[in-house]
Amino acid sequence: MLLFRMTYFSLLRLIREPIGQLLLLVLPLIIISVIGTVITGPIKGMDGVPSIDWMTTITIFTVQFFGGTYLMSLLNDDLLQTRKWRTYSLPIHVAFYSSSLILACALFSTLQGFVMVLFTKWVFGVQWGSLGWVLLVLAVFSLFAQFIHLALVLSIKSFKLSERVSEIIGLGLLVLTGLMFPLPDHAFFNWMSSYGNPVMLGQRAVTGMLPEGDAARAGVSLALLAGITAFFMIISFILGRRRLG
Amino acid sequence: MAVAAMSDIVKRYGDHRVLDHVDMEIGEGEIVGLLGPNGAGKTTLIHALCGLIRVDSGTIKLFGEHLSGTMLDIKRKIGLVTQEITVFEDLTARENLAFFGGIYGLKGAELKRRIAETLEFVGLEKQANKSPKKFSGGMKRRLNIACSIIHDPKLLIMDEPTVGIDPQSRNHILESVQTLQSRGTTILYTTHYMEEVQAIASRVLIMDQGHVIAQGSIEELVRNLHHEEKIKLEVMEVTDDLIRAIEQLGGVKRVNRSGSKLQIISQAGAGNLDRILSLAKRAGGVISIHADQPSLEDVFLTLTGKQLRDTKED
Repeated sequence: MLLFRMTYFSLLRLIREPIGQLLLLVLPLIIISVIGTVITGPIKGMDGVPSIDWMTTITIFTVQFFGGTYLMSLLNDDLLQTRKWRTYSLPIHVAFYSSSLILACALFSTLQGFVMVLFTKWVFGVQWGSLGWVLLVLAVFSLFAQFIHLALVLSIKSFKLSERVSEIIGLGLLVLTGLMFPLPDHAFFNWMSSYGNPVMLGQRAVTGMLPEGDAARAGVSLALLAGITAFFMIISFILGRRRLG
Repeated sequence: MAVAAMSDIVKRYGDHRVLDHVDMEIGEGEIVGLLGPNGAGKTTLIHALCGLIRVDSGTIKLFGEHLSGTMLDIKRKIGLVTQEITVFEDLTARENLAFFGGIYGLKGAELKRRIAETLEFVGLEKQANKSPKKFSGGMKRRLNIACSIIHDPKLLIMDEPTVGIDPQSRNHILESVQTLQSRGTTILYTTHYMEEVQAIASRVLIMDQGHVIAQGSIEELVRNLHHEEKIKLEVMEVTDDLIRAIEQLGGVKRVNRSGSKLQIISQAGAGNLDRILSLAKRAGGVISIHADQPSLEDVFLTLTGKQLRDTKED
């Protein structure tokens, strides 16, 4: 019960923070809208998915990745910097406090992603298939984003540096999707634009469940994404015990 | 009964001993003023006392229990007012109190009642639904305190709660501290403002370089300096020769210079007033001279050799 109360207040903090909404909701919607009006017609992209769908899914999952910066920011404020002593003086385990932050950020980021899904579905007719399945994929991806960012903020002493590393990883994942420019026909790049890239795992988990898609591929992609999430969760747990006590 | 007690506490950061064999005790219902110059170890002492940092050696007892493990039950009885404003700016005053109150185990009607009482106590009932972003510095400080007393702690630890606020808010906070004490709360109060300690503290601890160098009531501390007198002298021209000449007088313990003013601490009854006056006249003339009994500020200055007010946060 207390966990939900704390999560609720953390959600309020996120909702009332305008910069995050602007960068991770409004800006992507503008980008998608601009590109969406340029890319029209029955042009087919990779895997037989329409180009607009392909571009939109990748953009949304990349933005979802940066949703992990919410957790970095809250955790830094509450447990590492400004509010550190106040939080530590509370009669509550640090792991419990952190869990409420993770839950709030994952929920908020998932909802933001889902708003973008609904927007692109209704405005540009992007095919998302089952919205329930999409919500599940978004939730798993959002958890992955939270835990990788948690690992970053706990392993790098300088908060600014951890933010920069997050940006490099996020942009790196985007580049490796092949969305920005074509990638060389090389085994590494082929792997990174399929199962080696969490953004592509998210994208393939969604598109695989479309009527023309491959459901088995969707399942494998989601399972792999869940596996990576579990890996970063364990890493974060170990780092958290060391850094936060 | 001692609400808090530290015995032979040592805390090192690298080779530096921030707390160096500290012994202290806070009795039930006391307001203890903790004074010390920059880097004295006050904040470290507070963090150690709250169990927020591990000490290298020594024992700490709170409410008769040794600090160990997560000490969640002990933490429920403590309120920590942090030096920095640590309220949530994206939550209203009421939501801030609901958040912290919830963590302290308050819920339902009891939580609502405590929120209303606490907001009224700190004078923020009309701002209950406003964000602290719109608050003045004093209002933020009061909310900062409110978040620490929502659960009615038995021991309230206040780390410089009045830094950078207007006199009205300061008075409000000082009155609130006295009211809390009258209701049975024990308070450890750290400040750089000597007059605050004089106004509210029943006992004073003075720290310097990781040591508690003096403790007792204000009267006791000042009484220890009664064998000294303070002479304030303003002269036409202060020269190094004049300062040297005064320093060489028998019984003179210290000479501080501030512009054309000199403050001389001398042994009481040494008859130095006349001698100092003569020296000053010969050096160019006296504008004013004043002899006085020592104050708490003099106690601090004598013990630490430093001015308190000039210092910044510990």
